[in-house]
Amino acid sequence: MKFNEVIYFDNAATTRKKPNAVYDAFNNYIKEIGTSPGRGSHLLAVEASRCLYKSRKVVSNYFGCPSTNNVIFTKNATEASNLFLRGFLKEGDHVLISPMEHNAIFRPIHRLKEEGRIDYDILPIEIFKDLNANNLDLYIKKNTKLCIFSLASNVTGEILYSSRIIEDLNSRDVKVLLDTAQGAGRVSLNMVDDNIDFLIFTGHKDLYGLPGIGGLCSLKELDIEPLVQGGTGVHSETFTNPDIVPEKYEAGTLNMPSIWSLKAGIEYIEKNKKEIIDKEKELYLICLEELKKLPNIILYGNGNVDKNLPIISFNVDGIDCQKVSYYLSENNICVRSGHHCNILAHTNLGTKNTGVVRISLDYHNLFEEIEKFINVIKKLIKG
Amino acid sequence: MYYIFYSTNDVFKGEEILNDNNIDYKILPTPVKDNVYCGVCLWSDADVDVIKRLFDSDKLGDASLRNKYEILE
Repeated sequence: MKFNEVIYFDNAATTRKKPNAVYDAFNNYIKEIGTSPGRGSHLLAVEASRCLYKSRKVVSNYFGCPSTNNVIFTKNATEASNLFLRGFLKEGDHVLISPMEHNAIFRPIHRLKEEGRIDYDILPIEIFKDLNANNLDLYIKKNTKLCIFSLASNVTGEILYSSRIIEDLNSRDVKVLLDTAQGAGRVSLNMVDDNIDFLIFTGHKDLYGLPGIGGLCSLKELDIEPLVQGGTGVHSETFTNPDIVPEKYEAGTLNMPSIWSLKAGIEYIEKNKKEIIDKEKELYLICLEELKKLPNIILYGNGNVDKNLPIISFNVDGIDCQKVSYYLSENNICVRSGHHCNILAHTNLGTKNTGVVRISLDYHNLFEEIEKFINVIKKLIKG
Repeated sequence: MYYIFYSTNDVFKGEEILNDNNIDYKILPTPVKDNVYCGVCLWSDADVDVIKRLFDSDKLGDASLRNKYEILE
């Protein structure tokens, strides 16, 4: 089996196939420019800085962020989360999080609690499904500063985001951090119109970028302590990072080839979004309906195509999820089983002890791949 | 005139504005004697008031450059 013949259904971890424009952007950058932004004034350094600005502008426009200065690049969403939470939260603050938060959010928050700096509570999932403003009031304390929730769950694909919950949080003077690691490339957002105070993203999933790039966007210019001290390319005479955005938060050499590729990925999505979403919905529905026809399949999530990314989590009754994943892998189908770096979601779903098998589809998947996958699952069930 | 920015990001925001308005410019190393440099700056011999008005505008589709640069002869 050649790797290019493998059926890849683990796109929620990393989209494997990228648009050609992304490969071209990476190739062109490393061959033609190959230098770092903000480092020197020769023509290649200037071109690298120009590419960085253009990339920042594409990200800023895509998320409806009010300024390129408010887009901070990090190496991934986890680093963006740590940068923001360690800098923004102060001693005595209280935070609310959704019950579906990835460890990229949950662990930094829990660590801050262990350090005695903050406290947090986990909101019930109903708040996100059928928002009742009175319910929300039960959880907001005098010192509640921030509410964090995912655009969509990485386990079930359910979209948690709604502009209504943000309105309700804004009206109670609670800031919002939206984790868009899943769904940024599929759900349209506008930070200004929807009052999303802070947003983190990653490049390598459905934005079709390469691994090693993520970031933090803010509605207002960020004024927090940076996570990393070091070379910023500006004000080299100061003994700590200068108070200049966005460079203050980007010490060290940036992953410019990935940043430039991310720009290409986002531009591709902007041009083809409807086509991408339509195909993914079709793939999702076919796969879901075929799975429903099979015996001993336990499905998780809402199954509502309009409120879901193309992610399906399931178990085969009586067979360990890791065994299902291994069996699929032996049949050249890649899925992810276990807990998906998200113990909160699995606790919420009641699958903490079992884990689940997750298939996450992408525009580049084929309908015949779904057919083959279903046939392999049928073979597994028959034993 | 040299237009010296605190942030490299703003240099290229400034460049985009000058390009969009067909104003000739160069990107040059920032004069090191000034301590608000970020490595490169913009230089242009076009009317300084015109450039200032453009940089300080609130209608950029991005945050204004007001108070984010200095002008050096």
